[in-house]
Amino acid sequence: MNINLVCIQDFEDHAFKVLPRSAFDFFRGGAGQETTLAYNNTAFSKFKIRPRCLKNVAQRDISTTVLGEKVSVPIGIAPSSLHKIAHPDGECATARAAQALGVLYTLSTGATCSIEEVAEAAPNGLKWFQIYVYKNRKITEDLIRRAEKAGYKALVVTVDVPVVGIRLADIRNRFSLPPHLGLANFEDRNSTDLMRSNKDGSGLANYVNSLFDASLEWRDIQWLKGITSLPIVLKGILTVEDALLAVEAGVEAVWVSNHGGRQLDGTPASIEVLPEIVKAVDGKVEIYLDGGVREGTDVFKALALGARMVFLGRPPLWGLAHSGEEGVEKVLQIIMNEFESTLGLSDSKSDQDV
Amino acid sequence: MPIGIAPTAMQRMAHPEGECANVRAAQAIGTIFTLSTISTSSIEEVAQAAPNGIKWFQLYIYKDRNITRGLVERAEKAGFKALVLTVDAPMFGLRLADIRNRFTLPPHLRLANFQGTNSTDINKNNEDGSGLNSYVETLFDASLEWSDLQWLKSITSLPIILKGILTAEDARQGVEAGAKGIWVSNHGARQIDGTPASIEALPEIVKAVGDKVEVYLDGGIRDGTDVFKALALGARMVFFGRPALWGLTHSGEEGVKRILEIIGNEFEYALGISGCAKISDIRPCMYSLDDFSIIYYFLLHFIDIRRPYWNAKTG
Repeated sequence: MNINLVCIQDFEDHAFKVLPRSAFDFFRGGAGQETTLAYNNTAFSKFKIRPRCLKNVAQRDISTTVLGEKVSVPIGIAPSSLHKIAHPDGECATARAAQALGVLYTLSTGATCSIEEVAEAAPNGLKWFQIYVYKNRKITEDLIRRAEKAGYKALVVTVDVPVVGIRLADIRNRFSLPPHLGLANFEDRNSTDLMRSNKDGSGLANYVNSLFDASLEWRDIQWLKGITSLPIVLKGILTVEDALLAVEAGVEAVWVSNHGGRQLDGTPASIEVLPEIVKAVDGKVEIYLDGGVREGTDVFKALALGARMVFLGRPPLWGLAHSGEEGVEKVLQIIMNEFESTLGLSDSKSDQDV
Repeated sequence: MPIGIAPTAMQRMAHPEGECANVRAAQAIGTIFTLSTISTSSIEEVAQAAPNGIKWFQLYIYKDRNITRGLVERAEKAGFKALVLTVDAPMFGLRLADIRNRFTLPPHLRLANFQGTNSTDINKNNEDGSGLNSYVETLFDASLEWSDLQWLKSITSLPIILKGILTAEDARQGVEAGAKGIWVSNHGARQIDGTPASIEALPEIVKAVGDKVEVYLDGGIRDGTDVFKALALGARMVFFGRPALWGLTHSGEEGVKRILEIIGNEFEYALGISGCAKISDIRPCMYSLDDFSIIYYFLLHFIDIRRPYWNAKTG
């Protein structure tokens, strides 16, 4: 492994060099003028770490539990679609890397490897399944059954995509699914074809806006609860009001996210809204965060502000683009090492101390 | 002058005479030189180079306590006046450049305070990146706790200064544990990225312990006005690390002297032009924070208020 890739930014710079332009833009891009995309990351600088000294940090433990399951580190892989655009092994490689390091992996509905393929690739890893609610409820129900059967431990319901955000790069590039790839969780060629239809711009937008149910309401969460025994995580919460509604709705966790700055440009950064949400929820459910996490110190800050776990969206993709499973492992190792260093230097021994 | 030389490691990388040149310059100017444990000139060499200068010894506590004990005894014997215990480095921070460069000490140098492998292990080219980090991980004691400070106090009569404090809580704890000085520092931003700046952390620490012990500061001092601000905020003394190295690189002892003269001169100008004849004339009222300034000048424009701190005596 090339030692000169020493931080996540190095991997992103490398991916820029090796990925086709429209692929890199698809992964990297955000909505509108991308102010939220940038702000997700820079907002972490608003929070400073106040280190404590002389706390005996010789033995450090960065493991934790999430929804009762043990993980080696409070960093997980967020759901992102179309991994095979980054590397031929796609989500299977990502999941294997996560399994090797004891890291939680979240599979996207829009994956290029199926629920079953990923479960087979990483049978022992902790896996969650991210779900979109389709207009055709049967599609959603089938996906849930398959996820349950394949051993996924929680459902992550994305609630911030009634319609897909306006991603200018995808529109300019007329982004569409490359012809040799398909949405592996679906056999229906019609739906995959929608992804390829990019006359008006983004094939992805075409797909989402045709099939996802924009009429989704809070009572639909009750419907979801009724058809599964898996714990439900709501991903894409940015306000205290919605966090409280989520708690009321009886879900198991709230995932603070602005979808990587890809939905609405001009929302707050995830880390900005985390404190008020943590305060309002008052420990009733677990709270996670994604958005702009690029270094161990970001992880530390999010945990110090009350998140149980943080998730990485783009960084694993840069690892995939570099060298598949090995690249994802390297990316994870870098940030895990940075987090451990931050923990020790700010003199916390474990996540509970933060 | 209230500007001293902070401990930095391996100064013979900058100039063949390394720490000896640095301390001679400090002696000539009449200011404090702090020698690092991991220096490329020994305690005795440095003492011999500048017998009349005020010298402090910076200490890392090694897993092998006998090593530490030995260093302390030698420092006392050689006439060093205080121990500066670094408390912000149970391990070294992740310095990406050192990792990329696979940093090690050049082969003709050694850590001069040690014999055998402790002096040369840092030369070992390390596959994983920084040779310095590997060295530290192997030898420094990351289990260091407040109770170890009691042990240190028991083996020396020298005053102990704690370097690397960034919070009022730790400053208080340090004073309670018997430290004679608190050195506010984030290790030149070499440990965790994302801490407050030292100058930001200074006020809360001065407030917490400034009436009991002296408070020092390093981190970002580049100009006489930086020195002035730190003193106005309650520091007794400031230190700088890198500027002395740049002086060494330029021309050894002469270079460091020149650096000290420059900043000393800038500081004197800052004193005079802000209405101070001596250091004790610096009053807290002589600084203002940005946010306040904006509101203040807005008010000044619309409301006629006498600016209270133009009159230095009312400070």
